[in-house]
Amino acid sequence: MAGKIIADTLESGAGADIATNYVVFGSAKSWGNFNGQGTVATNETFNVSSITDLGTGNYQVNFANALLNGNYSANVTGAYTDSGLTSCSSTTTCRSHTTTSMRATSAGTSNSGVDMVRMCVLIHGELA
Amino acid sequence: MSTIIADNLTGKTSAGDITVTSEGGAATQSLQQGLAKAWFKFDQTVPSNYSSFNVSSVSDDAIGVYTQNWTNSFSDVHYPMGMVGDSYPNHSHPACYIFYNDSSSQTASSCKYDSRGGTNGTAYDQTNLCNVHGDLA
Repeated sequence: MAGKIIADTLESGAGADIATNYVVFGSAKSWGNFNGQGTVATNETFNVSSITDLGTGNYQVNFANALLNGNYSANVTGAYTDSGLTSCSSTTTCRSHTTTSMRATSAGTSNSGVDMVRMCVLIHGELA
Repeated sequence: MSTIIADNLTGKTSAGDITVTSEGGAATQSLQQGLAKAWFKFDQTVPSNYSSFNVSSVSDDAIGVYTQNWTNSFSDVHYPMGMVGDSYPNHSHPACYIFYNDSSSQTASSCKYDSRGGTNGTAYDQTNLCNVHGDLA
């Protein structure tokens, strides 16, 4: 049988302590690394059920466990080519936060959508 | 109020899997997978990290190109990274960060990145702030 501990504070042997709510609130609730070029494919994810390809440079990240509300923090970073990119030709952003999904988008210098070979998404906030 | 005093936390059923109850109480989720595995605030003018976690050293590869070397390695090369920053001295250039995706530049033990200004020029004198998640080895 697995054990269960209910506590307010964690303290190291050196005496440094941290309230357990910092551990729970401070932990990422979801993250992912996926290939957005061609058929979208996840490389490594946490709390991501799937990635929906909504068009060029437009991806929907679907969460396995829902967030509590749409006010979570998200960070999206991307890479356009496999290696040695010689120009800064794209930007990434996020929008349409719901409790079960979020859109991650990437665009080129003309603001048109661009598929990225690597998209990284980090989510912090509260789970439902 | 209760306090747990310990040097290490280890899962009982599976050593690498401790679950925590969600804020809303509807789910449980892995503690280990939620934790940031590395972070740094890097000053290109030195160059060195102002502060960092799980970074052993930084290599200055070229202007605007750096490699952060991890103290504890990741389980694979697909760990996600998020980076923002500031371009000194005018603070007006939108920054772009390029994480090399080839096998020789992002490894389990290090990650090479390139920071650039908004006009595609190679950036320098920037501050880079990065959070790294994923699974450790």
